[in-house]
Amino acid sequence: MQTDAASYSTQKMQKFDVPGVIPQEVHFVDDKHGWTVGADAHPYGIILHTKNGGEHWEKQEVLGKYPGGFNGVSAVDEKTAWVVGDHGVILHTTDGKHWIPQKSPPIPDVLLQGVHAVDANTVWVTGDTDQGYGTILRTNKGGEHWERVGHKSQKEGDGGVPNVALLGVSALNYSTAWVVGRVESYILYTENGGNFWIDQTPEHGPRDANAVTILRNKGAGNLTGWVVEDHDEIYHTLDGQHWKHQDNPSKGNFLLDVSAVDEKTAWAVGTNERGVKGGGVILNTTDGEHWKEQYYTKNGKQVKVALSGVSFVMGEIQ
Amino acid sequence: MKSTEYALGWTVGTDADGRGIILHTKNAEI
Repeated sequence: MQTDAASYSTQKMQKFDVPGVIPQEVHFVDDKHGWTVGADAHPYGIILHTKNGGEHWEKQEVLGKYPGGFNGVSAVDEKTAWVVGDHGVILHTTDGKHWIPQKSPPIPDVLLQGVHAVDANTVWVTGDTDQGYGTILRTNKGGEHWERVGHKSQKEGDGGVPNVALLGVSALNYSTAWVVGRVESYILYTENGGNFWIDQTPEHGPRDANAVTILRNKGAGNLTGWVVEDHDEIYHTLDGQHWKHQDNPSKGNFLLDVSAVDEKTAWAVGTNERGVKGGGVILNTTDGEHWKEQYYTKNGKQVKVALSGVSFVMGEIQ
Repeated sequence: MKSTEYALGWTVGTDADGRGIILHTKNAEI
């Protein structure tokens, strides 16, 4: 049994079918418990849950129908999780099974795509534009009350939020967060709860920045993070402030999600720009710097798969 | 990463026929 970092590049993958469901995002809290969210054929929102590492997925009841489906899920433990979707939908569970819609104003009726639950009380959500700027919501009351943060940006450097859809969010706490957005590949940062946003984008380009993950390194305590974007772009930070481009072998993919387990080990996934039939990509780094492609194979042949969500956790060998 | 730890992950998407799939990997199984 190998457990060294080099083994990542040759790992085997197992496939689970989820008939009638198009999953968009996935989040696991440990080696057994996780959720995936997406839509059925209509498309209405679907939440699937597993308590055995994905061997069996159970559809969870949601009250009512949610047109457009669900786009994001973030969990803090096996009972506490959040789901976001179209039309300002935020759902919350505190028992791992029953989902309660969040009704507290002022949640705009927009497509919500990013969610990061820092703990059971502190959650950040991002979405499309409303009243001329991208939507950023946060709660520190476990969803009892949501606050829309930021203001419309009038000019560069005014600390406002640009008029672009915000696709992903990663936060350290109720004050400090990063969000990423569409069109101009925005990376925005706040350390005062969203009142003032600093544009950290290293080079604006005509592409979407789709996902961000930031983690505090064990021991040293410094920050590491990645942003993944359209057209195979990956950016890396070692301080949460400055971003550096990282080369990778992806060709012609929208990189849609990223998951890291420590400062050196991360995975990014994406969908080919030609669409589902073109497949997608799985990328992995084990030194925090160099990326290699991983493949799903069946009967010795690579299988084309278009991917939109990824979640990794650490397990301990018993 | 400690030598007793390993990463395991899941990724979701669609196959070439547009069907939903979930892929899972455990590198301790290699």
